[in-house]
Amino acid sequence: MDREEFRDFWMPHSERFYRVAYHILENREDARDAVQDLFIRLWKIPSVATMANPAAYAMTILRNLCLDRVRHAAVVRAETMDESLPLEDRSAAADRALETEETVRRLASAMSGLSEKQRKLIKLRLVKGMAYSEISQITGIPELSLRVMLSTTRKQLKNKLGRK
Amino acid sequence: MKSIEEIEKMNLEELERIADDTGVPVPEDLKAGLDGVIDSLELVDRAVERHERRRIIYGICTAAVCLQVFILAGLMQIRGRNAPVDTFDDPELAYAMVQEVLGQVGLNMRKGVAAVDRGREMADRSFETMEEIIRKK
Repeated sequence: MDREEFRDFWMPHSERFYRVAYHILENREDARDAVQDLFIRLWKIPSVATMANPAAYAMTILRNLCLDRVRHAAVVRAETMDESLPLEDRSAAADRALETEETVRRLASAMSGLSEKQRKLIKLRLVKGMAYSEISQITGIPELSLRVMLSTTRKQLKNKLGRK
Repeated sequence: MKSIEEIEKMNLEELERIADDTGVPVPEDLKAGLDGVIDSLELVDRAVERHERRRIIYGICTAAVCLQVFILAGLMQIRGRNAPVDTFDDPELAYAMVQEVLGQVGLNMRKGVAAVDRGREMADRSFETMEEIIRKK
């Protein structure tokens, strides 16, 4: 699924997903995070064509994501009370998956602080891989300005992500 | 938040009913936030693709250099086998022959190192060209 297909398919369900997450987690921010986590999981599905009921499948994933959050919160609460409790054991693959999800969340947060122009430039140059000349034709911004803008935007993102 | 037991008991029908309850207010910026997540997912995918491509190119170049060194070592061994193994009664003559052989070995080694360097240079140039192509894409 490409970006537009993914967005067109899943975005109409986003409010329904939010309502379920809010009902379970009873917190706006947690519910928003849960829906974002759900979208990160759904992105990995190559195609929904073979699924009988993709929305139901997504709802089940969302419920399990919320369940994980509640369990994690319970573990954290218990740990703050008793340090002798063992940490949840995770496989290395699960840890890597969590790390990737965390990276995506942090990147999304960093990108939300950029201007519309900067986000558009990032999409055209780094995601679509368009040449500066093409972007200049589309946006009407001179090439040299685009290069400077992209360099500044990269530095901003790196700073926000806490990298040197 | 709901308890673990409550959540585990929730079936699909109940989840659908909750999802359809329009009485629950949805944040105005929910979709904008999700758009940001989708943008980030695209960026991460692209970065992973480029990293994989670079790994493959490094692998091919390393294999090419190793192969060249291997072939060179083989050639040097064959040449060594064909060299004369006679001993000499005259020590001075033997010494002169040893000096000549060592000189020849040194010359061959310099040629071999030069060949590996040339191979590495070619591999580096190929890699730079591939990087340029990827960057320009």
